[in-house]
Amino acid sequence: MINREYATAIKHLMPDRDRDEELDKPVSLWKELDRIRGYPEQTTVVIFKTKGCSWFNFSSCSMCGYFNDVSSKIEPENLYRQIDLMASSLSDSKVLKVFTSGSFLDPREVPLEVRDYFYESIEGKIEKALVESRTEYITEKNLQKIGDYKVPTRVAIGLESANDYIMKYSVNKGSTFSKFKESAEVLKKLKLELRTYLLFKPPFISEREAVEDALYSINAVAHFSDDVSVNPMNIQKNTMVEKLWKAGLYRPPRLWSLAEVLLRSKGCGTSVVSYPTGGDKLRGVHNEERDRTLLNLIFESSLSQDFSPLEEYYSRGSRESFDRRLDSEDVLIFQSDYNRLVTRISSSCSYL
Amino acid sequence: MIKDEAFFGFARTGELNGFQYPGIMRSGKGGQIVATGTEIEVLGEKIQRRIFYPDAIESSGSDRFLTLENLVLIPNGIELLQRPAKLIERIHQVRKSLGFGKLIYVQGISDPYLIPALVYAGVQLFDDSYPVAEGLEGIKYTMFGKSKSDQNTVEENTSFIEAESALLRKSIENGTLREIVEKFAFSSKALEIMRILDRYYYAEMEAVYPVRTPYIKANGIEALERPDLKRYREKLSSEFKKPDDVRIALIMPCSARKPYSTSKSHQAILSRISDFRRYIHEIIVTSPVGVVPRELEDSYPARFYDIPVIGMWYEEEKKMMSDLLLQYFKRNTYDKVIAFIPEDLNFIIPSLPAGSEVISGGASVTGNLSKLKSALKESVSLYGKEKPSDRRLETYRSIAAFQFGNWIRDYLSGAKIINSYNQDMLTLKGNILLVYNRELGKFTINKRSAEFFLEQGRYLVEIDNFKPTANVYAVGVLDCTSDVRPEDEVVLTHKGEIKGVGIAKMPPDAMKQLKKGTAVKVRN
Repeated sequence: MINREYATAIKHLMPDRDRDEELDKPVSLWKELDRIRGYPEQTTVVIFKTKGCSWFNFSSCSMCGYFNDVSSKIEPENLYRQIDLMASSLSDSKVLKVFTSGSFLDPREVPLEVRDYFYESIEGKIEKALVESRTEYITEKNLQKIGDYKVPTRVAIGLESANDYIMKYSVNKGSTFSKFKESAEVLKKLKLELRTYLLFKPPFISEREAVEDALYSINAVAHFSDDVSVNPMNIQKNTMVEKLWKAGLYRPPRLWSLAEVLLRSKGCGTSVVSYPTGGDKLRGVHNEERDRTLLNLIFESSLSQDFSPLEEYYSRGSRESFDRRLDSEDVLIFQSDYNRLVTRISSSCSYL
Repeated sequence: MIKDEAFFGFARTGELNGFQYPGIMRSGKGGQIVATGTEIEVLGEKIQRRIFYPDAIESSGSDRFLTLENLVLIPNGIELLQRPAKLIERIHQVRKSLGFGKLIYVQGISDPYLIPALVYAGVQLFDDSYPVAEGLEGIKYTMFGKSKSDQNTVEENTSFIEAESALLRKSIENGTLREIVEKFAFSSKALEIMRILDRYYYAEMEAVYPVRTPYIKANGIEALERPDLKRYREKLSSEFKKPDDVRIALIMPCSARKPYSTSKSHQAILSRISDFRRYIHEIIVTSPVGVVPRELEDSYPARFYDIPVIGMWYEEEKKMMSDLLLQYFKRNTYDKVIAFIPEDLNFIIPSLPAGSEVISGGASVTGNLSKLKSALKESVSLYGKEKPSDRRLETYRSIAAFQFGNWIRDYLSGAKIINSYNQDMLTLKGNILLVYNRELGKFTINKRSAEFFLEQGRYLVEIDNFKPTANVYAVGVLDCTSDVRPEDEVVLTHKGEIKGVGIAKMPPDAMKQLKKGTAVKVRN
């Protein structure tokens, strides 16, 4: 489940200082569109500042930089105040997505009384909540009260990949597909909905492998999941992926590949969405040339679940160079931001 | 199975599964490297896809290369190449643990301006990912470096490397790879690779470097560090012995024409001092070879190099010549040293023994020639009383000793020179020992002298019990003494019995480890 050396290398990149200026404010609070109730609607998103993910004590996931937003000084009082602030900022949102830099359902991170307070605060205002958690905390015991709250909840699990090899050697998730399945069974039993997050293009695999991994994972989780959200890699600070990226040893996926994943996932049995963070930018999913239109189509089709405009754009697109590039990356065992490294080495040669 | 045609140092050319190496493998359909879902196939050998960490993540436990049946794959070439010393170190590790048994494939680094240096470093297999990446960016390869184009140049680039590889294969066969690497210096990284090999891997390189190449075109300063020249200079300063009964040394400049003594400048000097020549030991100072006693002027490397000359020297050359002279005079003492040198060689004066006489030379300075003559006359009258032995015989003994080691002098003390079919030979009691090959400036071993080598345990290749005819293949070699270098004269033996003589065509380790390819070319 864990590759110790890799986990240690990741741990070394994590800053051990606290950034504790604002204990009473969430890390972030904004509104966006999502379709948790089956249609696109305004959704409030909050990221609470907590003590952080329990996994951080040991290591971190290779792409996760949320440890940058935690503080060991957070007490329940701080969380109460963060919840108040969130509750007063809902305006007319009926749907709320809750993230912490860890697991909302981890009682050490969000104590049970805070969880109660949270649900009381949104009662009557919010009609659907989504909370995120690692698999460890999705147990019948920990969730027994969750059905009593007046707000129906969808639980989100960041599975990342259904391939344990990738989970262990690339993502360093400290979890497995079978743990995910157990959690899914628990949720089913408690009649809770499930959103599964997948990570598109974890490090050390080729882009073509990443496409296949995403599709394999989508199909593996589809029948457990009320929806699947595909997160293309975005490079976060102080992470392994950032270290690799800076050294030219990682390139975020291309928009074309993400489009391919969405289009090929058709018929998997559940809705598949993708709302890329940092899309069309250097640290996020991007093509060799900028393509805002494609990124927008990905958002729009995710929200509407009508993929035909995306499909049309995809089929009209000229991808000869893209295909050649990916073919050639695909025969390499070692994955890197090949173009960037080639340029570095090329600079040692004179031009005519 | 690997079938080698020729070696040059760590470079080798031949064929594996229908693919000629060194060469660039094309990716995709019909190519030599093919990606499938879970595997990558290289020249028909399958590799299970796996996660490979870069060196940037220190992980002591994991492999740093993948070992297949006939080849070793170094996946993170493009990471390592950013610091060429790291790449060379990795290649060296691979060779140290796996020897010559496998070809080396470094993924992702087939820059045509690096390939000659990488081939020289011992990489045989390349892929097309590099020309594809550059070709898609419109970078076009030309004989003078890269150029920019608004076209897709993937196919052109790949063909460029294929043509280049074909030439490299030829140069390995011809023994001219070193020149190519020196000439094709468009990339600073290529030069870094060569310099790293020259400076930090000399011992490893020397152990596999041929004892002779067709010529040394020393156009650049890099030639100073050629392993064969370094080897020569080391041998000269640690093994060479001057003729015992000659007490006077005359230091002279080199000439463009080789051997030096056939040049106009040397002729002009030698014709004026012919009366004294038997009493003096003539020593030529030159770059990049260094110091050449007259008796070695006919052999490799002294007769086989060419250098641009404008009457000035680089500091590195000056230092090399000065250091070598110092070493030389530490081992070889004379009663009198006279330097007849042009002004541009004055930098060697501090390296000459105390009491040396310097006469500003150059053949055109006729006045100084008479000065030289009178200086020699005086020296000969003081130190030249003893009548020196036959200088021609001593010259041949010296060549043989330099070629095979000083041990052979004992076997040649009573030898005579005879000339048969226009070839000089050293004989003993009517038996031919060594035949001098004028064209190559070296001796070849004869059946009779082969016994000396057997007795001394030198230059021996132990083979299976068979009668060697044209070639001994690596499969027939059981063992080989470690003094053997490619192009050396060797004696073939089996359990103490001499089976023949020939020329080594591989480094000793390759002979022992490989199954195919010519190990020794037999002379009948």
